[in-house]
Amino acid sequence: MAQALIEVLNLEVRYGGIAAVRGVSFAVEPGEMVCVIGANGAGKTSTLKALARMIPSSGEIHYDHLRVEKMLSHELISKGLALVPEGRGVFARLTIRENLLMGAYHRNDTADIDADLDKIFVMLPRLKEREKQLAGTLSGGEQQMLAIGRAIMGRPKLLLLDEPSMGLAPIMVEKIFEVIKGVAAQGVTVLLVEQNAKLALEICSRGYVMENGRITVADTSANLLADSRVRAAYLGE
Amino acid sequence: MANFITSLDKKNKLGLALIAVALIVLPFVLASAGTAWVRILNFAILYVFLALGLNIVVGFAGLLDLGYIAFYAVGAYVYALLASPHFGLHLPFWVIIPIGAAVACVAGMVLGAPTLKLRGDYLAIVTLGFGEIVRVFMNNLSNPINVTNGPKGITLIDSFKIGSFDLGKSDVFGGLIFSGPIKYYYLLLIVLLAVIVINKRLQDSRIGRAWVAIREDEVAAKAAGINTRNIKLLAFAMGASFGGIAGGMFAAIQGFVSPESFVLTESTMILAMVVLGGMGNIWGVIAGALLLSFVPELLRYTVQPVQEALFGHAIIEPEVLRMLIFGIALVLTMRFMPAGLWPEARHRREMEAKREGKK
Repeated sequence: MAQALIEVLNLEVRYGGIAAVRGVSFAVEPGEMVCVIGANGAGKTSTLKALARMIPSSGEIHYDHLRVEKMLSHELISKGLALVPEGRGVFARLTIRENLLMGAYHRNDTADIDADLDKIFVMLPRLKEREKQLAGTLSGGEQQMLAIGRAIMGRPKLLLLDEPSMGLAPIMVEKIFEVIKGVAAQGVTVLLVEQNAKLALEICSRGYVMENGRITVADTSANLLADSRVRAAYLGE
Repeated sequence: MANFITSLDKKNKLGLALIAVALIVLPFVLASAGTAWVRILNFAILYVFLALGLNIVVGFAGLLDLGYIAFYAVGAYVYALLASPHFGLHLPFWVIIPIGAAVACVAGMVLGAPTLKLRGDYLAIVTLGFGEIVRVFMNNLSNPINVTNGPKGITLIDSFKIGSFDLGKSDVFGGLIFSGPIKYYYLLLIVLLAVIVINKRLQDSRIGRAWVAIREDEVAAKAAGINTRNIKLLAFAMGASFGGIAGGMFAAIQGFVSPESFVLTESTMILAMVVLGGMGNIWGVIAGALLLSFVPELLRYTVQPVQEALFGHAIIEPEVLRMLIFGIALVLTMRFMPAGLWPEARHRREMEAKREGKK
């Protein structure tokens, strides 16, 4: 096994007395595309939020020779760890262009920022057309694209995606997944949390199944898609 | 600033020159109706300072602060204590005003630090409490050591002086009488210009965009690498400093401070100026502050004569009627112009989008 880009050991997240994540361990190697699937309330979002330091947790998080659990959320993007939060979190009152520039907030290489902006507009032409519009006027799918674009502006090595398909029409979900594949093809490592297990497993090479705050199954996507229990529980068969 | 002037075309330059002339002549026009009106104008400019300071906290960063008057109080008391016979200290104003700003800034961070995780209603309640605590302190800090002189307040506060030139006294230049209030007016005007420039630069800066981002979505702002704690504290600190500067000038102009000047109503009034004018837009906030300072004064002088002309005598006490009319006007404005008189462009577009969405 190659050196993992991120390795999580015995992660626990508690909300008051309730344990949402109960000792989760997993690893993602550089260039991999891995998903965490599971039902509502299984602890997927809590896991991702803990990795991004949005909520306190116990356990170890090793990322690129750093101990993430000892860092603050705003320090991570400059280390190449980007989060696209659940529910997108675009800045509704900033324009699309300003939203993308916020993604490069920690950078001060102006020329490179402009070049990256152009790249994103090539990748997401819908955003280019609406460059000067307020992000709040975009459709849900476009907002999700913008949120992903904003994260890319931080030049991440590891992209954490929290339920990018949430609340979107099926056709839009497919487009978003195409975008995520495109990002991964450029060498960005992706950790995707999804309820839409089928689509997630189709684009990722490996997957983890989370239930009640624990990882219960870990396997390649092909095996998970073939697993009768997974099919019954998450693929609606 | 130089770029700004050269970028203007001829028509704008003429307009700007006319406004400048009008602002220079204004106090003399008002003085012909009574020096009281120049004083009202000066207080209106002080309210503009306060509204612009609160706008940083509420308008830019989206943190609802109901105790903002506390920083005005801190600035005023710092000036009063360091330039009055109370402690026998008479430091010059250019020393005290920065001290007042610094003390208010620290007070802003003292309020900001424990409230960083609060938002909306909860933050509003804590700030409201903070404002009251400061006032109660000023009211009671006369025992066992007399610091603030309690409810009696501090009197005989020094005016601004540069050598023998005293802004509190009348002077005659070239046949024109420059009364104390007129001299203060010019000083306030210069400070106002500086405050507007600072606010404008802040709004268009990286920090300004970070404030908007925090207001919109804190998780996403953190993910974008914004140190939300420091940026929020900065909003509190900067807003408070403006309040402190305004407070110091208030103490010098008024010559007297007491806790009564810093009641909750004042905080809500300043918030009303920000919201009515158009949260986030500097020009709107200025318009809101001027309007809400002048209208009550205009009503003070018109309510009584109008009643007498209509009914022969005053039916409703003028003071009551004045606030009633004022309140109704506020409610109507917010009903029909929910984004304020002169909203920030983004805010307006958003409101319009919402309205169209409803149709």
